[in-house]
Parts: sequence; C-alpha cells; structure tokens
Amino acid sequence: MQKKVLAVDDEPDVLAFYSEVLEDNNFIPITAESALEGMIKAREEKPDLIILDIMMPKKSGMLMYKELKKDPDLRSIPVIIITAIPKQVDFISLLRAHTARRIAPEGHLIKPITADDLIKVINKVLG
Amino acid sequence: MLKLLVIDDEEDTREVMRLSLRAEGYEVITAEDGQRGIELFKREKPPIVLTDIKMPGMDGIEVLKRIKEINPGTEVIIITGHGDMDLAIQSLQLEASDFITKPIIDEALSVALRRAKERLDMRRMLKEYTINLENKVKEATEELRERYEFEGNLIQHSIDGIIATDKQGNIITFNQGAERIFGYSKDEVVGKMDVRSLYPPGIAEEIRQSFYSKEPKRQGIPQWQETFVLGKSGDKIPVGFSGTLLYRNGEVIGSVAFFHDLREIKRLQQELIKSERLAAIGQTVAGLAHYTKNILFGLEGGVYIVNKALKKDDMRKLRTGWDIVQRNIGKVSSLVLDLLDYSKERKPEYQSCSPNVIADEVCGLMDSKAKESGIEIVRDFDPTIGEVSLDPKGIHRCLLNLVSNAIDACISDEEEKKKYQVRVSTRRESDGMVTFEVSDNGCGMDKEVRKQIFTSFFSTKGPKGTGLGLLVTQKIVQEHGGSISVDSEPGEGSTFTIRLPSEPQGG
Repeated sequence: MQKKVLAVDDEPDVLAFYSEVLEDNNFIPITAESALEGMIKAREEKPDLIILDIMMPKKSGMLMYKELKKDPDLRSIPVIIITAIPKQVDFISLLRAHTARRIAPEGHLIKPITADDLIKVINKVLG
Repeated sequence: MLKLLVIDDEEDTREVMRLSLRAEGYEVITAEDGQRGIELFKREKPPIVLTDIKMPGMDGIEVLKRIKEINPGTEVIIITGHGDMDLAIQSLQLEASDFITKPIIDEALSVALRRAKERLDMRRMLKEYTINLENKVKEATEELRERYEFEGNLIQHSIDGIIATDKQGNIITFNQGAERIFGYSKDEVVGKMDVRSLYPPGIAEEIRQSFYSKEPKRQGIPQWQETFVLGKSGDKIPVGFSGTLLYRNGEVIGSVAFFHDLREIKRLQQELIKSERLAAIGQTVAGLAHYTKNILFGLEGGVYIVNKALKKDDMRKLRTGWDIVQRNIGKVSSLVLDLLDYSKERKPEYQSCSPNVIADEVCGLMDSKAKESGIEIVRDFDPTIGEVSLDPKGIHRCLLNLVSNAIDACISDEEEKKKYQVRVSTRRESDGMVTFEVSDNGCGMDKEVRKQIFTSFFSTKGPKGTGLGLLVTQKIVQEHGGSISVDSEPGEGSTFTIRLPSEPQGG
C-alpha cells in the first residue's frame, strides 16, 4: 500500500519539489504551506511520515514539532526535520524544548537537498 | 671724581684752590691764563671751570664765551673781585653758572660748586631720560609695526577665508583663504565688489539677518553655520560660515566674515559613506548565505522537475517545473542587480515630478497584496505639495520597499484583533523640504533591531529577507541629499520618514 507523506514548508517551490520526488518514488504527497495547515492535515490524514521545515516564520516549525510529539495521536508518526544551518544547534534547542521527553526527530536533512538524499533518508526512517 | 679746571693769573689763588678743592674730592687742574685755560679745557674736558674775571691777555668773559662755544653744558663759575659787578652780571648773561667774590670764602665756593654739580646731574638725567624716551618710542613703534605685520600675515595666511567689509558692505579685506574658496583674486574684489554678490540669492538675506540677530552669541564666540557661497564660475560652494559686525565706540564700522571650506570635508564624508558601503558589501557573503541557499534549492528543485517532465514527456509538469526555475532565476537576478546597484555611485536622474503620483502608484501596486492579508493602505497626500525635482524611479523603489516592509510587519504581528493599517503620506514642510512617511501598526521594532536596520545586511525576515531593501532605500535617499529616519515601538508599529530637499543638492 502506498504510504502517505506530509511535507510542510513555507516555500511553494520546495513543496513542488518534494511532491515530485515523492510521487516518483511511489509515495502519496500531501503538502502544507504553514504549520497551522500542517497540523490540520496531520490530524486529518494521519500520514506515515512527516517532512517538516524547521525554519518557518516565528518559530512555527519548531512549535509544530513540539505539538506533534506531545499529541498522543500524532506522537508515533516519524518526523524528518529540514534545517538550513549545518550545525547541531537546532537539535539541542529542540531537545531542550521537551523537558522530560528527550525526543529527537527520526531523521534530519540540511538544505539544499538532493532528490537522492531525500529518498535515502525516507527509506531509512520508514525501514 | 669730578674734574675741575681753575684759571687764575695769581699763583697763590691757584694753589689755595687746588688744595682746598682736592680736599673736597675734586680732581683739580690749573691754568695761569685764559689761553692756556682753553687749551687745557679742550684737552681735559672738565665739567666745571672756575675762572678769574680780570686776567691779562684773555679775560674771564672771553674764556667763558669760548668754553660755552666748545661745550655749552660746562658749568663755569666766575671769580670776581670788588667792583666787578658789571662783569659779574655780564657773565651771568653769558650763561655762567655762578660767581663768587674774592676773597674766596670756602662756604661760598662750596655752595657754588654744589649748585653746579646739581645742575650737571640734572642735565645728565634729562639727557638720559630723553635718550631713553626716544629709544622707547622707537621700540614701541617697531613692535607696533611687527604686530601689524604679524596680524596682517595671520589674516593673509589663515586657511579660512576672511572677508572684512566697511559699513556699506564694500569689501576691504579678502585674504588668501578667501581667494582660494571663491576663486577671485584680491585685486578683483577689494574696493570693487559688494559682499552680497558672493552669496547665492536668499542666503545673503539669511546671513545679513544672522549679523544683526539679537541672539546672544555663546560667550561672544560666533557659531558656524553651514551654507553655500557663490564661486567665480557661479558654482555653489559648501562652507561653514561665521560672521559678526565690527563696532567702534558703539557704532557699526563694518563686518567680518569667516569661511570654512567644506568641500574637502564633504568629499571625505562621501568617501566614508562609500567605504562603509563597500565594507558592508564585504560582509555580504555570510549574510546572504541563507537567502542564496533557498534560491539555489528552489532552482535545483525546479530543474529536477523539468528533467522528470522531459523524461516522461509531461507538458504540465514541464510547465510547473519551468515556472519554478524562472521564478528563482528572477530572484537571483534581483539579488545581483540590487547588490550591483548598492555598490555603485549613482547620481539621481532628476526630473520634475509629483511626489503624490509616485506614492499613489506604489500604493496601487501593493493594494492587492495588502488586501489579501486584511491590511488597509491609507493614502494621506498633501494637495499643496506641487512638483519636486527628484529621480522618480529611485523614489518609487524606496517607497515600494517601505510599504512592502510595512505590510510584512503587519503580517508578522500576532494580534488577532488589530485592524492593520499602512499609512502613506506626503507633505511639503515649511523649510521647503519634502517628506514621505510610511507608517504601520504592526509588530514594531525594539532598540536593538532599530540600531541595525540601516547598517549591513540585516533582515528580520529569516531566509526570505536579503537585508538589502532598506540599505538600497537609504542609498537612494542619500544620493538625493536627503535623510531617512525611523520611529518604532515594539507591538505598536513603526514610522519611516524620508526627507528630501526640493532642489538637487551640491554642484
């Protein structure tokens, strides 16, 4: 059965790219242009994987991640976070954002991403 | 020891005088007749002479006359005998100092000598005094002349221009500094020009007013004000000006004005701005990394889609992909052009235009974007603003940048209940300057952000901002000779104000 992948990014061009790559690899792409839209679609569609841009305005990317991991319904969905800064800073602040539960994202990619890298990580995360 | 000459034909008299006078401390020389006496006088030059009146050969009167011929300052005391009253009086008329009668009483002699000495002293002192005085006058005159020359030099060689006028405004002093600044030679100006022709119209009046202003000058030191003067070739020269009226006995006798050549300073200021700008560009690479990475990602994504589309012969996908590629190439172009624009010295292409028309165009362009986000653009244009000389494309760019920022500020504000408004206003100020104002009631900026917005490539928009917008705006405004400033409160909004001169500035 085809797996559903939700991609959340405020750049429409990037979403177009993700959609293309996902379709090409037999996934069903679902896109959201904001954290708000992302949360709605996550609850509606219950995707098998979420690709989440951390660098969205007003820290909405990180906040969405936090919410995902807090929500019992959504917690189990694996998340690949996309950052632009090649440092571990984001992880640390993410980890610190979750006091008791040190929940690290299942996958992590640094922009700019090639199609191959994306598929490699998706496959790794989904096993 | 004072020298004393005694002339007497009687040897006894001579001896007695010699002895007693020596005892009194005089150096005594004697002669037995007038002739010898004169010879001795010429040789020894005694200041005091005692001579008998009645002598064979040259008598005392003759001796007296001769001595007075040789040295009128000599004290000559006549020794008379009984019945020589006439001779005594005659001798006095011939300027003998005194006479004593025979037989000579010591007392009388002493007194006569004392008086003679006193007179000698007085005369000497007077002479010294006079010489002294003459010397002093000579010195004072010399000093005065030196002073005069020195100050003349000071004025001449002062780097600042110094122009002094008489009561009517005719130029009487025009130093080398002034020659340098104005381009006229002294000869072309002194006595030939009214100082008013050196000032551009309007400014002459301002300056005249500042001369007569009742404002107390701080501690008597005139203040510098920046203004323009007219050079020989009609060019406007930026100067620092300071002037004052000159008074004597409460009446105005003329004026003096000082001019600081600001061309060099202005040139250096321009250089500084230019080098700061280039330094800012130097910092660009790191600053723009974010922005460029995003564009590259977009480009690569687009290319990927185009390739897939070509492989599958899918026109729709091709269009989608190609759109993305084009859009991102457009972004790269804009960025490069902005950078190039920013680094180049540009002279505004001045045209006479209406600021209101430009502002209206910009509002029109941004109306739909604003409406999409629930923001109202309010136009507040000054109907009396008239036409202004400026570069319409440049100003259009500035306003577009400010309005776009204002809209972004409203969008990123988190208040749910605010009615967002971006107000664009134009105004003609009382000093002739033209003002553009763009204000919003969006998220505002704190002091930290405000400090950075006009320096280097700073953006609050994350990967979407280049940080170039305001810098380019500021550059365009500066090239017009204007200024841009901002007022802001976090949570309340910001107001950006551009002030432009209504006439192109600088030569």
